[in-house]
Amino acid sequence: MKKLFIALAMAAVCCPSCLNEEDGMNGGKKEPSAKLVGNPFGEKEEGTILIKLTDKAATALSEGTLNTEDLLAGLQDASMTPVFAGTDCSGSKLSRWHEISFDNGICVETAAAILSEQEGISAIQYNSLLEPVYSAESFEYTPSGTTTKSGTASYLPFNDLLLKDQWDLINDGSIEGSVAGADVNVKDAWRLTAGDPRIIVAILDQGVATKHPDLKESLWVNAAELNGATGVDDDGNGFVDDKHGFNFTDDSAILTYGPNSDHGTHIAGTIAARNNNGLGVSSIAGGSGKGDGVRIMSCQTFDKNGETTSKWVAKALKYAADNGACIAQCSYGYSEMDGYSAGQIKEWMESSVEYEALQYFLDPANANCEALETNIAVYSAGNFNEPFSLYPGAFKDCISVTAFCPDFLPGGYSNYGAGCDIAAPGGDIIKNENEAPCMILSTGIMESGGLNYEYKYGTSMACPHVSGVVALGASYALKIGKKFSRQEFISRLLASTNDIDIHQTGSLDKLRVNTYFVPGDGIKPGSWKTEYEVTDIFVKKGKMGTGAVDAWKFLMALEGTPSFMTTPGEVLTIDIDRHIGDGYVMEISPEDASALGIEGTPVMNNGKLELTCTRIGSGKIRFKSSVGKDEAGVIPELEYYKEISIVSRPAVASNGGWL
Amino acid sequence: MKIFTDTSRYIYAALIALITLTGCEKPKPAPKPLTLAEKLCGQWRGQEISVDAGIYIEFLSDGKFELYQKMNGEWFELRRGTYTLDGDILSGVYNDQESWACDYKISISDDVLTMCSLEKTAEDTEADMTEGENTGTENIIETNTYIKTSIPETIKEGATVVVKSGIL
Repeated sequence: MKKLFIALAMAAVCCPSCLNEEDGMNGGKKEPSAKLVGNPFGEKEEGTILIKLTDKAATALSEGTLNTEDLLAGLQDASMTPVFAGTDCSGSKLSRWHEISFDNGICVETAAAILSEQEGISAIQYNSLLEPVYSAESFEYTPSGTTTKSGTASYLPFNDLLLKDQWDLINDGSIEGSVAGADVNVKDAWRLTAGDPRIIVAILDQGVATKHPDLKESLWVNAAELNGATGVDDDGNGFVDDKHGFNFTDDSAILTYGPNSDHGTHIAGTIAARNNNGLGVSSIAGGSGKGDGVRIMSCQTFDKNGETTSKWVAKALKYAADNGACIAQCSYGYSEMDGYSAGQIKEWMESSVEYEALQYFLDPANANCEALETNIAVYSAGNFNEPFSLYPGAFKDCISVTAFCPDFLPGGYSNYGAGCDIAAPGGDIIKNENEAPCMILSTGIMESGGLNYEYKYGTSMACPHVSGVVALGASYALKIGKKFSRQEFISRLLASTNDIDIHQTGSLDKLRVNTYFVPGDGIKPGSWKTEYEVTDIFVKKGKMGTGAVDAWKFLMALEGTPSFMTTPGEVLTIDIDRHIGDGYVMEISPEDASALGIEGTPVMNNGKLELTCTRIGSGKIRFKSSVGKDEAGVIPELEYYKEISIVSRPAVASNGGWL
Repeated sequence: MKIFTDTSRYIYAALIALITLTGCEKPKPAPKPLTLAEKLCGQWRGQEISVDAGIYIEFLSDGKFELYQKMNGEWFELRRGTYTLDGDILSGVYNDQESWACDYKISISDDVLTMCSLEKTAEDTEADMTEGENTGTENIIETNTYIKTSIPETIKEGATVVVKSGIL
């Protein structure tokens, strides 16, 4: 049994002062000008700290007039290096971020206090080591015994041997206690597309096993580096030999992975393991066996111990944007500690270098898919069974994913509520290996180091299901020649879900697990401990996002909005419950109402919309809703909408035919 | 003074004959322009008919048509029937014996089919009922354009066939 923890521990710290970040060089008057941002707690990397220059200081630096000695006065043997060195930051605020290295004799908190007094510095961020805090137990796949299902796979569209064991893709209810249909409904979607190689998904995680037989053909390939000279930045992107991505943890192109560090490999398999190759697992967007399928860019931000830093995450996001990725798959988050509010954490996060890098990734100027006006970022909601999404997933800019089990019930571990947007298969917690099929099966690395397949659970596993569906949607949008804004695209995703609340009746219990690390005593090494407890998941009803992600419905929504024909003077009746659902607020613009000659507000009658057009024309009616509402009003809810179009024609065939 | 050998003389004569023959060859007749009916045959996709409505029509040379439309639902419905082209007036009947909503005055230019819906006047209605000659006047009430295309196989394969008023 392996355990892997990833998250960020937040603790309180003092913030020397907080002033307007644009205060800068004020004629010699020295006042604390920098505010502390990002994660101020937890273990920090010594001898290094991150700073953000003011506009004036950044301009002076670019002109060669900034006196860095004065800036770093008070620190011994200090030097300053751009965080995003070697990459093009022109026109971006990311150019203002620098890493200060100094003599280890000064503790980092003292260095922060010294630097906070400097004019020209608007923000200071510790280069925090983010320590793992969630547990994702895993089991190796065995081809015999109770971990496999028996029966034929003739109904399955691909010949991958393990597809029959992937309830998350096609759930036929054969797993004991499971509900048929508790999956991502991708089987019919594959008839339309199985992924387009132009879609690149950046996986910010541990390194992806590039030699895995079920992944190696799905890797993004930097052709210039692959065909170039070793040790040379052949494409001039600031990174050397980055053939399939980059390892930001040790600043090299060598991606690292292993038996206890295969989190990124497992995630990559859910998104793009090669389909129909007669081998291993299937994936949501891994093609149909004809050379199609989306591509995986491995942006290694977690080392073999499952640790990361703000700097690595920020650099990875910029790398993804600069090198063609249109989707960022991020199964990590920052957890809340007692005593610190979501609002306080939001404030810290919004000013951090990684958030600014996220904004860079989401900037329309850096969009990498012809079908999308901006790139898309997908995050896991968290495994703490808490009533809010972790950040960064909780930001409105991102999609935050909760997890459900093979029985369509929320995972006992899954976060829910404020900031959570959509649910996806994440697997169930089990107590013994025989129950492993309730987890998510994907590509993995065995204890022996061999490349194989494993079961894992967590919102980490749910997140790539949504990333995969997003990738499938982008592929389909390319195929049908449509382009979407981020709001349009995400709206259609969030509006194309299945109700999972209907499965929650009465009080329901699920296992959740507390896993914590017990430090060593100097003689014996530290070890992970697991405690199981039962938790009532009924509290999660209505709070898992808009529902379970549905790949087929999503592609249909991208194909087009439902259109309804009528003639002037006739009463048009539309079954809103069927086409839209409930919980929406209807609105029609004055322009569309005028085009159709609709006077007054259309009437809702027992779930049916009745309206009469008095003119020939066409228009839309929008149904708006929101998800992830925070009662405290801190974590912003995400608005989304569904639309229908009305076509009022002078003549309509009595059988509904267009001609 | 040029001296011609026998061989070169024969070659020269052959060349002259070839040029002469070429110069006298009859011009090939220009390809016969397609009739409107021939141009109509093919697959068409509706353009800017309404926001996101999907309309595909295939007119077959045997007088049959197939209409794929994505209205009121998530995917396409297929309706079949027969059509007739009288001059530039197109009319049709679905397989469930329901007539098209109206007749259409059509024109085709550069792979663009324009269909102008003709309003049924009282004379037209009476003519329909008595199967007499259409004596109504043309009054265009709607114009839609269609682009020559290939209907995606996924639509053809996945369309729900509408036989009568209900779904099959």
